[in-house]
Amino acid sequence: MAKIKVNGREVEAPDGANLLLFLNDTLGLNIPHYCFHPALEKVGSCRMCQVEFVMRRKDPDGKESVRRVLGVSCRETVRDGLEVETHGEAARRARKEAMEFLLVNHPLDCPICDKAGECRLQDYAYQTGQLEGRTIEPRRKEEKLVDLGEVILLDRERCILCTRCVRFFKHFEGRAQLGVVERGDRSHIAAFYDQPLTGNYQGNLADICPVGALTLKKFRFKQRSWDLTPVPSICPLCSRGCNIFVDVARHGVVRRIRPRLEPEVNGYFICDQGRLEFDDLNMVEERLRFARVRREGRLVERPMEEALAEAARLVREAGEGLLALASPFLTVEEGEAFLALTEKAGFKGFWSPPPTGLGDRHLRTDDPCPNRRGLEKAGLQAVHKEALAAAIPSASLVFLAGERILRLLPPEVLSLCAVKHVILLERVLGGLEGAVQVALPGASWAEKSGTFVNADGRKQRISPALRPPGEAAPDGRILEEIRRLVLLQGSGKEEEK
Amino acid sequence: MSGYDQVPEAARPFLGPTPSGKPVPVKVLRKDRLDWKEKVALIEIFKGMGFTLREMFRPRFTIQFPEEPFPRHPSVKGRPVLAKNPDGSIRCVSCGLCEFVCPARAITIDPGETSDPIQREPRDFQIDMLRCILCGMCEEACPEEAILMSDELLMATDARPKALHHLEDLLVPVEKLQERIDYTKRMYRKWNRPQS
Amino acid sequence: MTVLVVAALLKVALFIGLAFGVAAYATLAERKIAGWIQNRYGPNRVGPWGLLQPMADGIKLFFKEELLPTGANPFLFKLAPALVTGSALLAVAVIPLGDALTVAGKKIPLVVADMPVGILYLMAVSSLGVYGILLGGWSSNNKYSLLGGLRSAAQVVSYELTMVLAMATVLLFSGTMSTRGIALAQEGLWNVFRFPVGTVAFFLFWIASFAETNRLPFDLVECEPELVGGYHTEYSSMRFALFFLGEYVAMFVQASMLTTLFLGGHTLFGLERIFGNPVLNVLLGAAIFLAKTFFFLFVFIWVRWTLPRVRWDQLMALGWKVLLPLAMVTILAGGGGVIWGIY
Repeated sequence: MAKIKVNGREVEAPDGANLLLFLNDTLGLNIPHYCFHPALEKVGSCRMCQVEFVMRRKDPDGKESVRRVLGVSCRETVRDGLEVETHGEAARRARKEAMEFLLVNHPLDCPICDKAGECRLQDYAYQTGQLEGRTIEPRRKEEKLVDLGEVILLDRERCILCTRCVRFFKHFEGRAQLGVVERGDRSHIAAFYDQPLTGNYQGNLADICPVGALTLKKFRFKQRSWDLTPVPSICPLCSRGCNIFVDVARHGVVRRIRPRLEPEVNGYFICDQGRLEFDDLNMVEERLRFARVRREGRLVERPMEEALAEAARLVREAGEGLLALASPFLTVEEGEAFLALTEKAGFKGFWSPPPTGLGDRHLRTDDPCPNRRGLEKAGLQAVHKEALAAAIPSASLVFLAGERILRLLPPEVLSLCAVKHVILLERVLGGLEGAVQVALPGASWAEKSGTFVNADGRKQRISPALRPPGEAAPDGRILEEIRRLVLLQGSGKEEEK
Repeated sequence: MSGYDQVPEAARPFLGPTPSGKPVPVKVLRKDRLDWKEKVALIEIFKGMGFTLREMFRPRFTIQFPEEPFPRHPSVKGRPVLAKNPDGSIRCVSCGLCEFVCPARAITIDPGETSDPIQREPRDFQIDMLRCILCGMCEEACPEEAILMSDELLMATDARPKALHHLEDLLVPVEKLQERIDYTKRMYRKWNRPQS
Repeated sequence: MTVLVVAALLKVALFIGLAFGVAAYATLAERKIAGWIQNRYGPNRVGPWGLLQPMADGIKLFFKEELLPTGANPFLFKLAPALVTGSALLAVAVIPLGDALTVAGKKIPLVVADMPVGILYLMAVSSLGVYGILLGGWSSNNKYSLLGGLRSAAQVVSYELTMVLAMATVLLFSGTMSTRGIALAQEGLWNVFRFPVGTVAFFLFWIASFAETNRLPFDLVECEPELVGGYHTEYSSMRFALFFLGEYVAMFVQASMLTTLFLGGHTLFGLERIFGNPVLNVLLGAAIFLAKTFFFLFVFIWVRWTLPRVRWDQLMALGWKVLLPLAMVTILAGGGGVIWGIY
């Protein structure tokens, strides 16, 4: 620990820590900054984090002399004897002037800018309190719509040249894709040879851009940021378990997924699949909203109680002939409920899809199961294609439970199931309409709470961001209810009633 | 000066002493006793009858409202409407500030993109006039002078769906709203720019 | 004989229609004139210039719910409005609208009942109206209604004295109690111009008629600030409408009596006989009579929207201390004048 002096007060600070991070995160001084990003190289180009360094030196004759120097705090590390003034006259003025320079050419785009509401430039402009520009010259005109590949759009007028995006590729991927071209007041951000951006992490540019210059195509004009409610959750697309926020709009629609800081798992970033593949959560038309039961050869919508009783009867009657297969998307709690329900089953486990091959050296893993470790710990076995294909023909009843199981199972397995009696706990009916006896409307990962255990064995909590439609309910609740009914029917209490 | 000179002469006694300190003589106009003429009241009765008779032939004050428009000051806050530019384009960029600021949550905007690459435009803009309280906060929040309080005051309908005004119902040529725009500009200049 | 019966029936129909029509349009006139005095238009939505407004009001009142207050006497409560309107309508019988028509050799005067004691009949019948008001106020089981009814009785008794004395002065001049006779007797000189007795009697009668019809400034019977609505507080629908109608018919009767007793009825200094055709002359006479009546109706309304309501004690003081002595002096002077041949 080092002893430093901040605004005249002695503070203990970890030796070698970044000064700006320490001032902001530990002391909460809220010093503005644009070019600084904790995960990226520090360049100190925006000059917004300037503070006053107080240097004291003893002259040979014993007289103390004090020198005050303005400097950026983002490039300074904490060391013993450091003395800074963060909100003195000089520092404040320096920051205000830097801000004014940044705003000289920034367009008044806020009403149509997707960043508005979470824009650092907006926030600090209000903080410094200078609400009107002093310039009379026309603002710089630049290209407002530059296509940077499939994910990102660039607006050069709004850019303040903090070069966070440039450094992002250089340091995260080791290979620069963007650069600052031209010189002086003509410098701007461009992709090399105007090639579209590549890689699985482009979406992070929209997060790290402190202004609205880099925006997501998918989020463009969809929702104002202040209308979004962030719900902390865990990305289920691979076994990494990245921490995310699910941003839900007023009317219960997921508009955006963005990373949530978790240094031990994903840091500041997430991959593009996790960020962009959420349309499935907003599914409306295809969704099973109410339970369906086969009556006289046809699947008809019935009340939930009736469907649950029917499912319980089928499970009890099947006994050992039950083949129970869970989706790898089930949470730990749901896995336990599933196991309890299918204790008599002849064959049970959770489906283990083959490696996707999408893994990379950053975040994405090859394993598409978000909760493999958790389900194994709960007592379920991972089931592969061969074992499943061998077991299905001898089973009398197939119980498929969990989100996306129909999509994850290979077609040949599904065709084996199609000739059996099937109980389905899913969000959609999929291709099994002919075989399903009872279809129970389940919930997606964004509609339930529970625990995922990631590839490193880290338990992480998901929380509900949406409300399941109709009578649909979280899988765990449905599984527990079926089990209760199985026990009731087994003890003969149902007849007594 | 205390502004004493600007007060009509008849009202000055109510102001108290003059700026120079001299008290103003207050003249009481009311008599506390009636004389015999007033007691008999016949003269007063005929004066009154004459007065009402004269009044019968004076021009009417009444404005026949629905048929006859009555003059409205631009400060009147009527139905909120969206301004349409002379070239037919919509001023609104669907920034959502009015939607956010609306205390009654009467506004719902469906934002869309136009051919002009950066411009946003509302695909639909709904104001539920059953919820709207005509507070004018949307107008104040609007950065584009797009949503304005018109002087339309007849908003009653006979069916709930008719009270939900859509984009096409809300668009009004901007020339018709110019008076209101000038008025709001003048007022905002007065309120929002405290001279330091 | 048949001619007389048919003529009588026709006259009854004509006079009832006339009374109701005048009463209905007097309500419109009331509101219109009130509007003009207050620089408004008055009702102008139903029909041209609002001329159909009385019909609309009537239809509305017909479809209103009839209320019977708890504790009210149902029989008296329902009887009261009928008494008010009925007595007012009975009084219409002695209004001499014009001279006599000659049909099939029979002289048919333009009055329903040309009784020798017409004036007595009038006083008797129009005093019945106060029973309606009194009963209505009493049977409503409402203290305000009761107060209104009591006031009505007191007020009518006080002012009827003055009225009868003023009327008696006229009888001295004309020497007959038939209303038609009184009108014809003024062909030479209207009673109002028999200065000063006739003039004073005219004004006494006029003032008393305001009290008789419960009109402002003497409408202490209704007196909204004190008694909510007075005797008809509890009435709704057509029963209220009957009270309303009765008041306006009574106004019409009083206006016609003023015309008959003091303004020479259908006569206008011989001008009523300028046509050679007797039928036209009779019609002209009726028109003259109605014009005079309408003038008084207008004054009733005009006064209502000009003068404030007097206090209860002022009303009584005026009636007993000023008008009654004055009326006594008037009748004495009138009698003396007749005896000594001045008039």
